[in-house]
Amino acid sequence: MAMTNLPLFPLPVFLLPQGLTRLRIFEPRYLKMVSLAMKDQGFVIFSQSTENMKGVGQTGSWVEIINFDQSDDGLLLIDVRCKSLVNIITITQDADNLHHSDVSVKEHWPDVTIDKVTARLSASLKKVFNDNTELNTLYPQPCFTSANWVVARWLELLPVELVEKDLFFAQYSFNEAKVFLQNIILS
Amino acid sequence: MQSVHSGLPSHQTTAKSSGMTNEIDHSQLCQWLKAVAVKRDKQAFTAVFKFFAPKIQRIAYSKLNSEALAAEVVQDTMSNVWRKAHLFDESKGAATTWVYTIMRNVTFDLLRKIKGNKEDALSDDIWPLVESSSTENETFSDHIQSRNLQGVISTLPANQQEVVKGFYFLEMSQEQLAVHLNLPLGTIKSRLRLALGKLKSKLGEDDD
Repeated sequence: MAMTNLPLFPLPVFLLPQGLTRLRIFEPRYLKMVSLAMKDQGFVIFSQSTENMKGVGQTGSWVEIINFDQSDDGLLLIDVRCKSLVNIITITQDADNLHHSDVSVKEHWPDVTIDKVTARLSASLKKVFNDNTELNTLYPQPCFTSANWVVARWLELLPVELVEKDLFFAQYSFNEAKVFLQNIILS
Repeated sequence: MQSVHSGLPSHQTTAKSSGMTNEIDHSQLCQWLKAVAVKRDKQAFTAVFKFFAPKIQRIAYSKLNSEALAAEVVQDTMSNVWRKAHLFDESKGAATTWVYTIMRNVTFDLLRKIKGNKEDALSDDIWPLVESSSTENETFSDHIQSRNLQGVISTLPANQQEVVKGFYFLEMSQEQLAVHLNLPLGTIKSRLRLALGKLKSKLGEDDD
């Protein structure tokens, strides 16, 4: 299995492939991470503990930086897009306290054709985007016609705890995710 | 002034039990502060708020003997926590120390403002902490954000709007979801609970 070594950004956020999020970066070690990520291959957002190898075996979100800006208070803002999920295989820490991990790509959901349920979820998601400038700005090209995309974005937005969302990192969890959203949004 | 913590969003957050027990989950607090700092995570902030607000209210009330002033201390402290979360450095001390330091400075500022002479009556040693943070004097301009965020913000008292203004965390609150689906909050809460229950029983065996 091909392995890549990437910096780890510990942050309690749930992000699935093609998901975008905006981050404020200020700690020196993470500024270093951003400069590494710009040169190389991105970094991994990881919501589990990086201490004592506890996170080994867990899943992270491999992201690439797609945009950056400066906030009004002078902090670096970056927009990142998740390109795939990864398995965390090792965790090490460098002299600047930045964590690095050997990772392998973790397959996620296969492409799914949109059906009646996901079409309704898509319409509802569209409305959320229309009502929310930040989301609209963040996603210049939303894919409301992709069932995977719609279900993944809904999961990211839902007010559900991370530990529960993490269940949907599983490769064959698409149907559970769809039913889960159906129960909450469409029942 | 009314009690401050009643006005913030009351939705469930990741603050499951830390406020309820005597054990303080320091790494959880650090995580929340980090999420506030990096992501302007409103839910993490709510969790921090729920953890600290009653404690600050209690301590401040015991020192100031006024509900209104204590509420103001809670308000100002938590709004500083929101704005300055990125200055928190867990390698320099516990999250509780950092927040209580802010509380202490806020209290002194407040006293200076309203009753200059009372300040002398409060000496450092009645506060549960020692160092004062040099970064406290930095000023931060609030990030002006769009007016289009649904849900709670417009319904909050002015001071609390100040606190949440500027988040660009994208996860919805339960209130926002309720507004979006045009359903009562109670319905949303029970739907979430039921859906999670079903999900867990289904995924119980083949959880990855």
